[in-house]
Amino acid sequence: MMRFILALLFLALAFVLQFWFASFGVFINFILAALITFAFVFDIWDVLVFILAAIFIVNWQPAFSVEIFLVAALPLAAHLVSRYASFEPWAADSVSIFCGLLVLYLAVAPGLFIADWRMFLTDLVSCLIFGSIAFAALSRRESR
Amino acid sequence: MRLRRWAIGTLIALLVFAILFLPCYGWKLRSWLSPQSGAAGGDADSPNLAAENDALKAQIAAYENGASRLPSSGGHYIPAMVYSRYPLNFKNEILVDAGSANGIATGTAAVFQGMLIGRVTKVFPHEALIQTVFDSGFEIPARVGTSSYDGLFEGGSYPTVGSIAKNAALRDGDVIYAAAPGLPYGLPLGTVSATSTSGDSLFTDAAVAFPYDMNGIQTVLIAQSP
Repeated sequence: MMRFILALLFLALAFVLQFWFASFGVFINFILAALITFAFVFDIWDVLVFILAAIFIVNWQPAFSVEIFLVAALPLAAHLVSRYASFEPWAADSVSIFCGLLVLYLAVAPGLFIADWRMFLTDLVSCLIFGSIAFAALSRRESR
Repeated sequence: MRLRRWAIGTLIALLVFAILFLPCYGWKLRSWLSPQSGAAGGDADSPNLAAENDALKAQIAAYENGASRLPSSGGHYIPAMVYSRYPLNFKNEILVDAGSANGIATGTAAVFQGMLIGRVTKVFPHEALIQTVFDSGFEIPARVGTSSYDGLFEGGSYPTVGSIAKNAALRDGDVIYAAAPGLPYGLPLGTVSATSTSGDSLFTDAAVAFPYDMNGIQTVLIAQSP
């Protein structure tokens, strides 16, 4: 239960950081990084709760969008990876964050990815740091 | 364990219900989490001298270009509150609380303090989605300065006006205004902040300065469809 609450706090922090940076024109996908990390720590039903909570707050229009679909689908795909990946969970988490961001950029704005690769790099590095901290904190809580 | 499953199941059901039927609470929650930068932002009707100045410059430029002899295309504008903003870095869109029930149609202008800030791209019964001038997909024909040089306004993080005649005598501070079908003629977009020669050396490009902060905008005016 404590781990679940800690994850909720990390998700809230991801919301605040993402919207705070966005208000200065810097866009970092902390929320996606948090959800992918949770996929390596929690079971599918807990992950579903986090995904739905994220969609409830992130969705900006009363209609379906590719972006929201990916915010839901990528953590679920990461959960599948967590079950079948044969390497260390922390490494699988980092690889999944990289792949998730890559898929998001290529699916929504491939032109932007090519034109401004530094933006992708900033996003990636920030998400990997945030994801690693969240993973370490949640794994530590589990091992206690 | 069983109690936990019930709790998780109930939570999932509640969240699905909220996403489908109560999205406005999500937008409100998000507005609490998002800091408003506030500077030069605020309400569509609150005074902003820089924006008023640009609007007057655009009126003068349009009148000097003979727009006063054209039939008026001005319609009614209705105020709308900004509900939410696009959360990622791929687009620049805002959702407002007025839709088809309020007479809003796709393609109409969104105005803030007399400045054109975007165009309605999707209309829902009680909401409308506006593609702002900072979206990389926003492109409209525009005119620059009192000599009304033709150009193409291109949105993005740093909007520019391209395809301006190479010999155009542009100065910093010249007003840039809309000259696009479906939008009221002469609505100011911003002012010239710098000029440069295009990559192919055939045209002049102009960087655009804005007298408002997009993140601080809380209400806008939207043109009603006739």
